[in-house]
Amino acid sequence: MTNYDDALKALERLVSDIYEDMNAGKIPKMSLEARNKYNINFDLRSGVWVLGDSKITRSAKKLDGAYTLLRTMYLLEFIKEMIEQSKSSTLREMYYISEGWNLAKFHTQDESNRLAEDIEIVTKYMREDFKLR
Amino acid sequence: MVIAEELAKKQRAISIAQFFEKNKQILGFDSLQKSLIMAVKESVDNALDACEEAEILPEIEVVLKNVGKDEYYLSVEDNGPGIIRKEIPKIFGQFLYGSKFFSMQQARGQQGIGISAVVLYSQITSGKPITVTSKTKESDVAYQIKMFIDTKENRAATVSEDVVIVSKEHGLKIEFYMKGKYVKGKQSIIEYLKNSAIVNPHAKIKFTDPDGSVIIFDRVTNKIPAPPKETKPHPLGLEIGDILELAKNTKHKTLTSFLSGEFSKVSNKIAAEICTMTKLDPGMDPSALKLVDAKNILESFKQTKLLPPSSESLSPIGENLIKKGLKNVLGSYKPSFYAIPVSRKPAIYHGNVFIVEAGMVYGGDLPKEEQVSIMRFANKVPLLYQAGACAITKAVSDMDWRKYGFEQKSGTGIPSGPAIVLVHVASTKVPFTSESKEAIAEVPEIIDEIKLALRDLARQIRTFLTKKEIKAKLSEKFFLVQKILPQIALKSATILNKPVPKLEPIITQIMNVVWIDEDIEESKDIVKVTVRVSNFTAEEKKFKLYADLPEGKVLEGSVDKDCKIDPENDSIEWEISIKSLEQKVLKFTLSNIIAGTYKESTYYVEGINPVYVVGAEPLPGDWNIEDLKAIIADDSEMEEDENDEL
Repeated sequence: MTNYDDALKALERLVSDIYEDMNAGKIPKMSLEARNKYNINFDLRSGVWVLGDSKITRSAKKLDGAYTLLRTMYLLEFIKEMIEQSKSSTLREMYYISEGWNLAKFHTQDESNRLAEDIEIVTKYMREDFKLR
Repeated sequence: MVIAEELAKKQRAISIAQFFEKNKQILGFDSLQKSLIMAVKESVDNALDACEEAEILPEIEVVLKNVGKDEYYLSVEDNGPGIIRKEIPKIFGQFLYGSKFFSMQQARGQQGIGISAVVLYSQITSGKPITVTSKTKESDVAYQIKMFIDTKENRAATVSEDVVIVSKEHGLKIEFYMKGKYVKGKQSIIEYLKNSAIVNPHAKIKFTDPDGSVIIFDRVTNKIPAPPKETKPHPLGLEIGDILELAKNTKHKTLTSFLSGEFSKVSNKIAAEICTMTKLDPGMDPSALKLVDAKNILESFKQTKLLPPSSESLSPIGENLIKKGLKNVLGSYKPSFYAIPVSRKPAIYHGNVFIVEAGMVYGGDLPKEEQVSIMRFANKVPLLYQAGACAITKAVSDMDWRKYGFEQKSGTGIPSGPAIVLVHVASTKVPFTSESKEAIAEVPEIIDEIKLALRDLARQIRTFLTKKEIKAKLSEKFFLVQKILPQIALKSATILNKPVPKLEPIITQIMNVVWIDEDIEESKDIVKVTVRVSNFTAEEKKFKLYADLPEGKVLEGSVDKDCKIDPENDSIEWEISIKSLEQKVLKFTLSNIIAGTYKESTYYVEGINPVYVVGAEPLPGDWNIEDLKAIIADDSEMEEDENDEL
């Protein structure tokens, strides 16, 4: 599937945003649609709930935000390697591999699952496009 | 008529001793456990009083032995001045015989009831006489008297009198047999002795319990507290009746000499002023004062400028010794904070001078969930019972502790938190709620003073907690900029195959402080201090840094040459000039430190906007700062709330 290259580009854009923030001397941050109960609307046409426009920001100014950004970097590097080497892994496998990510390791699989979901939302690609099953 | 005559025959006077024989609960002897504590308390209090008056460093030995079912042998021995032979029967065998009732000076004892009550309790419950062995400095031998109290006559009934040889130069030993029950924990003999040791840091108390194990509360100071002086009543707070009573009994022949002679802080000038104000003849006989005159005198006292009462008649513990005493006895809890104890200025209630002192320890191993323990003291005597009826408890409960970082239901009642509060009320006459002296009466003036002292302590706790919070937040940020941020930079650069971005400008944005912190290295009486000044702001900073040293002496040659040491040796001043993201290390060494007491030095800065500084306070009075614009981090962005997630 050619989709992988497009997905990879989307990922690199995400990394690039963070990198450019730092290069310009700004505190790096990542914005994505808020996934809370105040930010969902029922779409009558398609008959499903969709996310609204409200955004949340993960900034490296706070410890939690910085951890998430670092994990995101590790995850993106991992995905990039998988795409380049034509490999894939499950969410569970990814969680176990992340045990070796030093400071960026997750406490529970819920956290790593959620981060994978975050990346789907930011890039508007499905996680299967990132070789995550 | 006949019946009335019959009834009249039954009427008779009762002696005070008989009264207490039937009402021992009034004196605190209402349970077996408490009776034993009361006996120890009365004997030890007397020993401490005697030593204080004679200016002797007290050394007290308490021995308790179980000699039968619920029967105990108690001996209390001191190194006080001893009691001369002919006084012994009166002091131990007669109620309301004492030296302190009429005197206006601080003492543990007040009425001359306490020790006689112990003697009475002992003879009622054991049937055995007490033994008093006394050696005075003047006499070559010691006298040993065995005696009972003749309750009918309220006087001693001596059983035997011997001359014995003791090795001590002076001292007193009392031995009792009595019914009792020995317990440990709260409201116990150990608790009483432990608390006594806190407020009597100059005393050494040794206790041998019924199991034979020995507990020693050693002294932490060799300084004998200055004995309190006798004083006269201060006019403020007196009632009309007090003035009339004094006027009736005075030896002074004229009104002016009566006023200046019988009251504290009333000079001849003020006495003359009062005569003018009340239009009374300065030469009149004071015993001729009428009710209306007394009323007028009382009013004019309020209008004259009287000096506040002097504290000469009081013997407060003092801030330093409260801290030492708390550390000595509560050190095992390793409290993380000792508040600077508060000594209020002397105040008066009802013509009596009093001083409130208070101290507080916080954190460490103290239980977080439990109620704050309150240690109550009156004239250096621990109060263990009747907490609910006491002015100290009332003052603590009336205060809203929630704003100082404590838990408290609806802002009243005893707060919860890892803290111990000590409150000491010293007065020429402590208003106790009963003869057993277990609680201080809720006198508004006293409660107000206690509250002021407590508020001061609570504020210190709040400052300590805020400081701790700021430090915790900052060390989090330190970790962020030193560990996490460089990795984000490295990873993003690797993925994109680009050079690693420079992080300095980001670090200064995230931190934006000048951080001052110290490391303390202790060895015996020497403390080595290393101060790190780190500039995490974007600009170069120039300012003065002062280290305020709570104790010790700066060792010569241990500091950099360009700093200044205060002549009184309690502060060091540095001129700091530090570039962005630079760190400076300053060092100094202190000698003459009491081992284990050096917690931290206090740092002050001058010439820098204090909002940039963490780890130092603005120098008091340093308000001429050019740009006092508050720098508040922009936290307005919407944060992710985990609980709200779908």
